[in-house]
Amino acid sequence: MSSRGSLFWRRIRPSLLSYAGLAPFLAFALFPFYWMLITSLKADPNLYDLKRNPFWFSSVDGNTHQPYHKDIIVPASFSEGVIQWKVAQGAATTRSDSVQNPEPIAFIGAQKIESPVDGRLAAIRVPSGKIAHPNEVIGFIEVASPSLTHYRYLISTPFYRWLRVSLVTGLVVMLITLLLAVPAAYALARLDFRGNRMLGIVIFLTYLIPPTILFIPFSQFVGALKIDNTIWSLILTYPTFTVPFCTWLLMGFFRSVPKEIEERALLDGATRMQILRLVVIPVVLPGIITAAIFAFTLSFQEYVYGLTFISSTINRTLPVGITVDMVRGDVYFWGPLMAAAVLGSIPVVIVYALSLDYFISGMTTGAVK
Amino acid sequence: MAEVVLENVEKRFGDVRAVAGIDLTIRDKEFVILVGPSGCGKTTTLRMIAGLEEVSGGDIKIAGRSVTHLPPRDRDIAMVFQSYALYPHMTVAKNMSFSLRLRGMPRDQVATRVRDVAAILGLSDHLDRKPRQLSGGQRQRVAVGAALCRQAGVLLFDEPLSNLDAKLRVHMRTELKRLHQSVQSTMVYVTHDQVEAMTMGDRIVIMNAGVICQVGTPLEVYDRPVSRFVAGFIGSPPMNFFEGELVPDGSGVALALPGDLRLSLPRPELASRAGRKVSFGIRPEHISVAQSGRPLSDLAWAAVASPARVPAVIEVVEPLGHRVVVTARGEAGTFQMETEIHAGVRQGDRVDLWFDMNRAYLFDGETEATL
Repeated sequence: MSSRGSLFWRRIRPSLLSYAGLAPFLAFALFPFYWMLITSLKADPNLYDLKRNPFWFSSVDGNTHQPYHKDIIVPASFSEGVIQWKVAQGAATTRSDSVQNPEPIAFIGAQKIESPVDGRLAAIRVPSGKIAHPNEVIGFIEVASPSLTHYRYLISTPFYRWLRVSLVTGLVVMLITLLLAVPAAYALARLDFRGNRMLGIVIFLTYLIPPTILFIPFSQFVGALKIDNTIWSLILTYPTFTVPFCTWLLMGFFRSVPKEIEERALLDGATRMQILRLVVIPVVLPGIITAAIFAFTLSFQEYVYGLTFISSTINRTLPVGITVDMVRGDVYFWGPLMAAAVLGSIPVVIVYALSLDYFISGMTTGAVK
Repeated sequence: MAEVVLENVEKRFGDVRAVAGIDLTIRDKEFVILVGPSGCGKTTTLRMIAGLEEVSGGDIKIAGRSVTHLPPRDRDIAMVFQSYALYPHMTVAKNMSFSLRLRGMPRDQVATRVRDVAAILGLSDHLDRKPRQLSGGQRQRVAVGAALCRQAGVLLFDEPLSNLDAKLRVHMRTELKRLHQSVQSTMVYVTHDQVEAMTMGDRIVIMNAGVICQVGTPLEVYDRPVSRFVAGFIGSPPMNFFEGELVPDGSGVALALPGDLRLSLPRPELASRAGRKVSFGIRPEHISVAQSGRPLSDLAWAAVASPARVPAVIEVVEPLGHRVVVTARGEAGTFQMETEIHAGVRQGDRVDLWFDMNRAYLFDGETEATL
């Protein structure tokens, strides 16, 4: 055992210094994600409990040292009557705003009492068959933290609709961008024509104009084309920043392809298009995938155009939908907000994870020398 | 038949004439080496034959057909690049068969062709590998293999060995020469290395500053260089040069070198040129060591008719094995000689050296042409 341990130690030790150097950076970079995740999983009482360690969960109130609980109060508008419990003490309850037709936990006559939170019916003050009065506390629900309550709540919002709008926009914009940027970048990097350099610079300049200025003229175009408040307004405007960016990115990749490879392909009898299709594009595939990811993430996270061109809640993109609908006035619904952010970042994480190999593969090694 | 003919071929880059109107005929199945210092236009010439560089003037014919304005793929040529130019995403087999597949050759024929070529080059075990999994020498052979697969009439080589280490280079030199005997293609080979040129070519084309200086077999250019440039470029270690003057010497002519050195020349026909400034050239192997005035039994010195005695101090001794390169300094300047290791010279020795004047070269002081 000790020899195995020392072998492990010997392998780890040389890189220990690198890990030590990386640790502060990792902590810095990952902290917002940690905060987002932990916030999205905290039940509301835990979230607003200032007496507890904010970096971890707690199910015990910092002031009362009792488990977090929520009183079940008979609404003031109800008339008094005989109560009939529908769930047993100790059973789980589901918050009423996360489902379409919530199951009542009790009836007072014909009046329905619904659970205000996700939790466990901890105590019943007024048992079945007794009279319950308005404003009376008839029992309370114990709230567990961590819990998935905020994620469940998202079902009742247009969250998945926003996600779909964002995904469709991102993918279509990515395709348009590649169709335009790949040939443009190849032409600018490799073909010799008048104004080549100038054109490259102009394309880059258009990328430098901030969207916060461009959205004003663009909203005129979008209005004139009568595509405002539709996904088309985004699909047509997002390429204005993804195409220049990806063209410049790809120009670098195309320039790194050794010229001899193309010359050899020319001698081998390939036409320009064949060279592009059979030789150049396969060689710069990591670059093209990188550009595709950037096009996707740039449009997935875009805010200004999404906010200004889309006015109805149902057609919004994810970042706009979250911030407009889950912040009402100055009230931030931190739990659902963070839950939506976590779910919204999953597509991007998947895209990155799938293409990580291409990112780091040295495809051009071995081509020359 | 794949004869390559260049007629007054010229290449200008802006105001610079990289190739200044050259004429050259490369015969069918010949192995011709274009050699010269960097910037002499040899690679540009090759790229013009390949069609990768537009011709500014003149005409190029391959197999009797003018190809000057044809695209590369219609010229019946294949080329091996200095950097190998392998397709990094294709296996060795796909790399070698790329041109055949583009031409729509049936799959079984392609496979046979690739197998045959791979067998010649010893690549049979590597056909499924990617270029990055191969060593430098193997990549080089794949590049050659890809060119061979084409079975083109003309094979062009652009310094294909310059990225290999010294030992592999010597090996590949022999391989390529053997290959030429078996594939029956016309080969044009560009190099800056005169050793490659001497050892591989049927004929050598020596270029300098965009013009051809001399065309000939290795022995021709070695024994009968037309100019001081060719004489200095071919041979290793290079020829020694001394600036001097022709002076009358009885009925004949002698060479006056700095330091009151007078060497009589066995060249009576030059008597009329007495008084001219000349460069005197002698190869290291035509200088021999003598100690106490007696020539050693180096080379066939007994047969030397007119040795000239030059006193010198040995500065550097570089043993190469059985031979040794000696740098010596005489009154006329510093020069190198090559002798047997057993000649027993040591650094700092004062010795008399013997120049074999029968093998000496004289170049005109102005035109630098061989006299």
